Amino acid sequence: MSLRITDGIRYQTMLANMKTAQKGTGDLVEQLGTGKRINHPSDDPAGAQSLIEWSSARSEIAQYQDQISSTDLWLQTTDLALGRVEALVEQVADLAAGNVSSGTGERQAAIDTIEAVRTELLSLANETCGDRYLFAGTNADEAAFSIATDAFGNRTYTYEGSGDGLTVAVGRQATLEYSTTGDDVFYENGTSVFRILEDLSTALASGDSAAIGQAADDLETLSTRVLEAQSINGIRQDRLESARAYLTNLDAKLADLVDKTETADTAALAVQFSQQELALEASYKLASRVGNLSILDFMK
Amino acid sequence: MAISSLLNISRDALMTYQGAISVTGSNIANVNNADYTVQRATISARTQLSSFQAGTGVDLTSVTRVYDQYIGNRIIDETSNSGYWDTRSGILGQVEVLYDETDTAGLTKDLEAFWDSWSDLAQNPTGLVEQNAVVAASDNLASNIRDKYQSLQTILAGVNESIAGTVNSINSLAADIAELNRSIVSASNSGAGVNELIDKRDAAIRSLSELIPVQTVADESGSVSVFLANGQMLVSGISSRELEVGATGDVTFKGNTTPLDSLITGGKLGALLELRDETLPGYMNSLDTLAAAVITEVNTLHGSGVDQTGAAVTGRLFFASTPVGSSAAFTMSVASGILSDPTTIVASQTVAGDGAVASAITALQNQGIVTSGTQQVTTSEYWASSVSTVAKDISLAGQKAEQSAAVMTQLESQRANVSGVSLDEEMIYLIQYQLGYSAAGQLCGTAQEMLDTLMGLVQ
Repeated sequence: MSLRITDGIRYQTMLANMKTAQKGTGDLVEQLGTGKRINHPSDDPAGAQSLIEWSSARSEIAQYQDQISSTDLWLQTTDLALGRVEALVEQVADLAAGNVSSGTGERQAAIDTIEAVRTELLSLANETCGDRYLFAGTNADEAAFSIATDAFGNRTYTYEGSGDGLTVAVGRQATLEYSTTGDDVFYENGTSVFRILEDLSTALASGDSAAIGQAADDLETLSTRVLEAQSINGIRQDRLESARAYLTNLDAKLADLVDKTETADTAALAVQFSQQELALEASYKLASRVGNLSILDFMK
Repeated sequence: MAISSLLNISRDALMTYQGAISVTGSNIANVNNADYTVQRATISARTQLSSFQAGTGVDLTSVTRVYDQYIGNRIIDETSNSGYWDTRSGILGQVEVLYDETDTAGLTKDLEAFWDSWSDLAQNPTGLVEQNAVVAASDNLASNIRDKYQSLQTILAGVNESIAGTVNSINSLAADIAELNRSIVSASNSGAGVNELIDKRDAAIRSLSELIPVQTVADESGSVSVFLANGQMLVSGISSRELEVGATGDVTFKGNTTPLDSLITGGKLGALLELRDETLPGYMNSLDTLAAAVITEVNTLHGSGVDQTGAAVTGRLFFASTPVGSSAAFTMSVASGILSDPTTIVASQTVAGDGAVASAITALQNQGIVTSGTQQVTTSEYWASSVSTVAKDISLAGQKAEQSAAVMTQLESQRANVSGVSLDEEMIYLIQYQLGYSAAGQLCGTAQEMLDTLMGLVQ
């Protein structure tokens, strides 16, 4: 029996072909419109899974980069503060060394300078970055040093901060301790620099050469320690910079992967689109012709 | 042989061709009826009375349907298949919207914002802005997880309603088939035509097979028995059994408690049952697992430390604890105390500014805190694989539905090849029968002339 192509099936086949061509065109229009190859998870389940994982990884990198930026500001502020502290300590150390056996007038002038330095040092010790105290360690919400004055006008300096430094995550497994604690840079032999300066003033006032000499030595040692702290701070800045460079590189690689997975190849799509358009046009043309072909046209 | 017998032959021929033209007419009329099976007039010669005599004419002995049972059965099977995948793909299409993780929205972004906010808080543990940001991001995460879970529940409820509706349709189709069986048997007993009734019954069986996979067996009387795929009888001759949805949601035969759910694996009903019992609960479970892991881990870390006043805190919940027997995803919310006063967040471990708790919570984002099978994975990995699972299900259902549609088109074409109406063919038959009719009319005229001649002889 020969193949019978019946009228119903002619129309059904035509309809099915037209639907296929329309769906193909619709899919391509969506991809061209959004510029994306994956518009719904089901377009590429494995690709969609990777995109989510990469997006999370990039968001995490952005977190680390944010933290690095704010930590960088902190380290720069610390660097400036420590530079100034070192200069001031060095200045008073020199002053003390030069006044071991000077006259009363010179010593009084030195006392005035020392008082000014003490005030500035205290302000530097309580320096903040944002609203957090640079030298208070993990107790960064409170001023690093407090002063209590008793009934006789004697001042007591207390370190309110913590001995532990603040840390920041700069990678999944990498944390960096970034804060310089006040008990490191403002203390010598268990005595705060403010106390040393007060004692120095007293010694200068009374002309106690031995005490002046001791204070000069202590301040000299302290200034070296501040220098050390400043160089450690510098090393931290370097580490942060290299972490930032690594993360930027990683982010760029991930961005590239996302781009390759997600972005549609517009040139290829455009070619496919014109092919699909042709198919659709053909199916329309066929639809307009198919009804005309019948034996009825030839019967009179 | 008498001349009058010529008139009889002519009369029979006229009637036969008229009948054949009616069959052709009926075929032409049904050219656009998809359920129609083309009919053919069987024309045969009447038997000779004796070997000395010429033939006694023609008769329209029967009108038969041109039908291929094998293709019919294949169509019934494939209809079940296409009913299954169409239904599954349609409902999963609703689910896909919930898992559409585009650039600007989706749980991926909510999770990222959540971890980001904790990371910012770790940098400034007593900052009011950061505390509020944590609460906002957490509240957003919780409410989106809740929304997704509730949307899945709504879809599930819709599926359940569809199951009841589908069972009703199955019952009414089974009753129709039994009724058609009765009509067919009684009509053929009385010698009436049954072709249109058989077409109707085939259409009913096909509609039934879209809902539930069936097998059919025809018997000598002309009735067809319908069995479910496992051999249980649904229609037997003129009687049918009814299905019902029990109180527990199981599909059973009416008056019988044995569930048929595991036996119904195809058709629309099979797809709905699988979605209701396995697929959708699976998606909901994975949301639950994710929500439970986040709630538990964050609460554990948040439970011991110091808040911004520096006061040591034990057991302060960040997320409200999940009521016993409830779904974590369905009830996920930020604890009311935290929600009303974000400064009560426990962000630090030993002193108010250390931010160690917030850091530890931030670090959860790359720890395997969610159990996936035998593995511990991170929240983003877990969510990515959940999305991928859903996407694979949807993609597979879509592909299968398309494949099935293509197979159906093939089968329909084969069926049409045998049973469809071709107008060209019918026109040829029409010309053929019309010529036969004209010739028979001519025969009648000739016989009349012969009789006239004969009468003229005797005048």
